[in-house]
Amino acid sequence: MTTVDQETEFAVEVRSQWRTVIRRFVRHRLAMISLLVLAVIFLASIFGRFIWRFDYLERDTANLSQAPSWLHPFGTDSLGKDMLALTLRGAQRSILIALVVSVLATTIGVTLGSIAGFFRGWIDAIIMRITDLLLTIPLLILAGCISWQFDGGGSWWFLAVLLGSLSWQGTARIVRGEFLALREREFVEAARAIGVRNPRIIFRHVLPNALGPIIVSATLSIAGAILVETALSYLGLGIKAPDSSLGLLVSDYQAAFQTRPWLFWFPGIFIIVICLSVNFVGDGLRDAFDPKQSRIRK
Amino acid sequence: MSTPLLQVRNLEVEFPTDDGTVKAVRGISFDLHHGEVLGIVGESGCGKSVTNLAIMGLLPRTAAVRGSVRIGGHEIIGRLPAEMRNVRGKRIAMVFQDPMTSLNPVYTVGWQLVEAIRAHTKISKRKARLRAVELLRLVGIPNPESRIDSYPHEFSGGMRQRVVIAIAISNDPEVLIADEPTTALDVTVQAQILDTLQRIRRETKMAIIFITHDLGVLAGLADRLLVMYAGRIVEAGPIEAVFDRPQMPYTIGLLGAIPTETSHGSRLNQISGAPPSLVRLSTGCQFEPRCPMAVPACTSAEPAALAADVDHAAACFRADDIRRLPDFRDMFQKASR
Repeated sequence: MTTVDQETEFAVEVRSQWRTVIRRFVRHRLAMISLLVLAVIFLASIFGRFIWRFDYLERDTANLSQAPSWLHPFGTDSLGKDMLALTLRGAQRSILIALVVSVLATTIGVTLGSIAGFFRGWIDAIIMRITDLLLTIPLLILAGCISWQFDGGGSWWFLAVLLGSLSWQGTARIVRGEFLALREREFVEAARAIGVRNPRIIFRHVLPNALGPIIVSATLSIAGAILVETALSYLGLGIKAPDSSLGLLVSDYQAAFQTRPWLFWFPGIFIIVICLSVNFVGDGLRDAFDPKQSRIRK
Repeated sequence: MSTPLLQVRNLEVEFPTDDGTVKAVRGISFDLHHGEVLGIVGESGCGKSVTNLAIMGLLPRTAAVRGSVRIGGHEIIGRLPAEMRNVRGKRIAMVFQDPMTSLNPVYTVGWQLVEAIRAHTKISKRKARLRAVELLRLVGIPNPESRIDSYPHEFSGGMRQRVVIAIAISNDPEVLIADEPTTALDVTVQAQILDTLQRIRRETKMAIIFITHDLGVLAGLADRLLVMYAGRIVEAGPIEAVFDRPQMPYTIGLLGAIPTETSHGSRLNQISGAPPSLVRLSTGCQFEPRCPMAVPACTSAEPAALAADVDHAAACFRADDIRRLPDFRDMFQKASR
């Protein structure tokens, strides 16, 4: 048969969408370096306390307010606490909160956005007006007020759930937009034509096609969450002592900015490095998912 | 004659819009028998696709549908969405126009076939996969065992359309609706797809509704032909009869637009003007403004809608005169010169 010859002659290299995306991402050098930096910080913040000789609560009373040295690479504060241990603990809390916020916000945003975009009409109107309303209220003020009202406001999970349930609006809008475009594609109608139910069409047929933008927005929301958590803790409305977070450390030691700058700079640099890295990874993902992006990024 | 598989009676579809109500389908009736291939032709916007979406129950909720569509004696119009889901894919299935967009790009063709099979048949994934391979072989895809794990973008347009056909016939529907299945494909691939549909028809005895704007595509395939214009059936009949002795100027215009050996070198005949707006319809025959045979009577009333049980008839006041014309092909040429 002639068709057989045609098929073998023009046989294409089997490469799924995922492999293409991963290949492109790996070629994106800045994103790969950022991913490596993030991985190191992440692992150090979780496992560092098992290796490092000081605990973040422990006081080395022989070395108060020490500048960075071999014994204390990040120095110590006026109580003799090791800054490396404190910063790692702070980073652990900040990253944990950011991950929970990202997962929660993405879940809520994707669910509401896909329902709004798929069904349109009054369902869409109600969901999107609620979204618009929440967008007009600054997240920092809303979250600050609520966490101030509750006794549990200082615990990390309360803060994480609070921020997560208030920061899904951007994701919801992106997903809604994707759904509005995708629902008009013929494969959705084709799925209906073979008798597939609506929930299955939404989650199995349309959603996987919108995965690129969702992953990018989830990644970028991690950076946003770290900054909001930092700001809240800095204002005294987030994580409270004796627990630690990067924002709380910056806030605690801002007075020492002139005299013992290492107390302020190390947590500050961590915040900047984490946020920058997350954003670079997000950029890399966005480029990797962009079908029009064919040139190889250096 | 046996009872028809599909009975459409006085089907009307209207869409409310800001400019007024669009009367997309205005009272059409036809029958489809077991194993029959019914061709529906007409220009863009004449109601071909809307008719079939109404049969599938896939029209948007804003559409007002009246009349009756019965499949195997069961009424479809007015059924709940949950009931329609059991009809779609199971009793009536559909092949869409563009195989580039009617397959989901993120899943393998096997996944999509298995989903279609398991939507209506309770069998294990393994058995469904075996059936999927079988279906791919039936529609003429080489090496179905290995191709089943390929993604749609790894297939050519013609191969994709075969996959779409395989999905449509996966639950042995009684009626297969093919909505311009070859329009998005190039000519050699068109012929292969038509061959595939012919073979499926021979092997499964499925009834097929074939929608197209290209009369030539239907020539070797269809048993009966419906010509639609402005939401109505203007001519219906066995395909040879319609090709040999068309009774309606619009059909003649469509036939004249097919290149023939004798027309080589000369301009193709075309129907001048454009189809009427479906919002503001005139009181007379809708084709009258473009018709070279129009007489004053054509502007005062619209010819009656065709009944489903006619053999060969046209909704035209001048059908009898046209039948007696010595050479109907000259009609449009003379009119335009």
